[in-house]
Amino acid sequence: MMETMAMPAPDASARCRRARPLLGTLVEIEARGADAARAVDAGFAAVARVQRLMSRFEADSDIGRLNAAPPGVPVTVDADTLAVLRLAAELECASGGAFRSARGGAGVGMDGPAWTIDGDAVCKHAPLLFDLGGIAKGHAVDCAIDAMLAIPGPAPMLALVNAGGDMRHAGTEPVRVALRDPSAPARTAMVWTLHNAALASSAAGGLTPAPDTRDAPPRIHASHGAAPLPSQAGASVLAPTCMLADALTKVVLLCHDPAHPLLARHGARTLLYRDGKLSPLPP
Amino acid sequence: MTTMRYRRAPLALVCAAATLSAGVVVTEVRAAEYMSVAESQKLMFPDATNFAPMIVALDPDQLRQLADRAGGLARLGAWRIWQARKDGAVLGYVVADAVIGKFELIHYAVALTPAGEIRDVEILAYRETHGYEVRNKPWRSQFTGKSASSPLRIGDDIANISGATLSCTHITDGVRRIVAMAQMALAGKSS
Repeated sequence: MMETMAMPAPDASARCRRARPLLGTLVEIEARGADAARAVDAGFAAVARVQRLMSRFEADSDIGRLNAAPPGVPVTVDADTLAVLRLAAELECASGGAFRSARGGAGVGMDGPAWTIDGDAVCKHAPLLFDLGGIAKGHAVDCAIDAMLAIPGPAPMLALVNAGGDMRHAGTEPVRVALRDPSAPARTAMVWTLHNAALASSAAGGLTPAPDTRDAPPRIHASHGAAPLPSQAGASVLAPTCMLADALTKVVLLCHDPAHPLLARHGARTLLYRDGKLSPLPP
Repeated sequence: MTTMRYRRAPLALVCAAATLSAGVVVTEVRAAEYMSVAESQKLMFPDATNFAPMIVALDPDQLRQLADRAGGLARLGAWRIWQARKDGAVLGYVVADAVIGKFELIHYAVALTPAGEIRDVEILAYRETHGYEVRNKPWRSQFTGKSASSPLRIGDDIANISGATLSCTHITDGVRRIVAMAQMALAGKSS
């Protein structure tokens, strides 16, 4: 019955900004434009969907089922999960193994890949544990932006999704973003104007130490045999999508290479890089 | 629900450049206010006609159970609880709470079904305090005596920060306590 009522003229300058705890962090979504509130709703629904599909903490997610499955048994997963796994495999290969989306199965891999995709199913060839933490958050941000832009009617003047610092912007109104200094998180090292692009940051130590690290793997794994990353190491990468930006921060950090060739291949670049060896800024 | 749910984030960008050496060295404390409790109630229960405040009284036995189930002591005083009603029927509950993390204070609201299951979690306000710096006296003293007209700048244009990721472990713990409480004290209450 609401449909028959005279609706107020859409307010093109309407704004909506909300935050919800998702993906293990605070996800903030902002929209400006006639349908701001609906765009924000659509964005959160998209993020929640990716969390349901790809969280390793949910037993019935694609990743939960994949981790529980014994090697050799194909597990059917969503097309979205497949897309993320495909990019993860590509980055793993191109980074010489520095970026990894699955752990375990030591000693396997000499004779062939540790896991393969066949149609819409994934098959492990070793007792692997998948963790898409380094890439799925970025993908969730991309899905949210897509969902916000897919709403019928005029495109929002601004759509911004920020998942704990991994963010993507779309629209005609750019936003300014402060980049924390990984060696002094309370300080801004740089201000960047984000306009129809994505930005992600990773720090080896994180802002806060995990309260219980017994079960949780380190946030960023050093590749086999490499020295562990100093906790003050960090990188921020600008890329066309947040999934790429998110994954490439790990490649940059793990390869100690802010100009890694993978960046240019994907139209990305490093905005901020700290190898963690420099002495922190003076107090 | 076509009304605007937005408040300009009172971001406090505290610039300490005046007391520091060359270079862009900005120290900020981030704060964002997303919505009021009343706005969150309407967002999470758009059909409700009435939000009746409630007081939950748990006996010592229930408090012990709560601590066991939720893995920590309950902070009863911090909860504000409303029953969402429509024409006398109970649609669910809204519980407002705040958690203090290591570096942040987060106000949030949880919507629960009449059976005490989570429907939604919405962040109301967020303030990040870099405890180790804010509590540090020499760091704080650089602001002493500064006002809005002094070099201590209050910025309002950079609402987004990229950097090391915050954990929302404390919200997860807080929500778990609320669900445990709701299932003991709220579930099945018809009025």
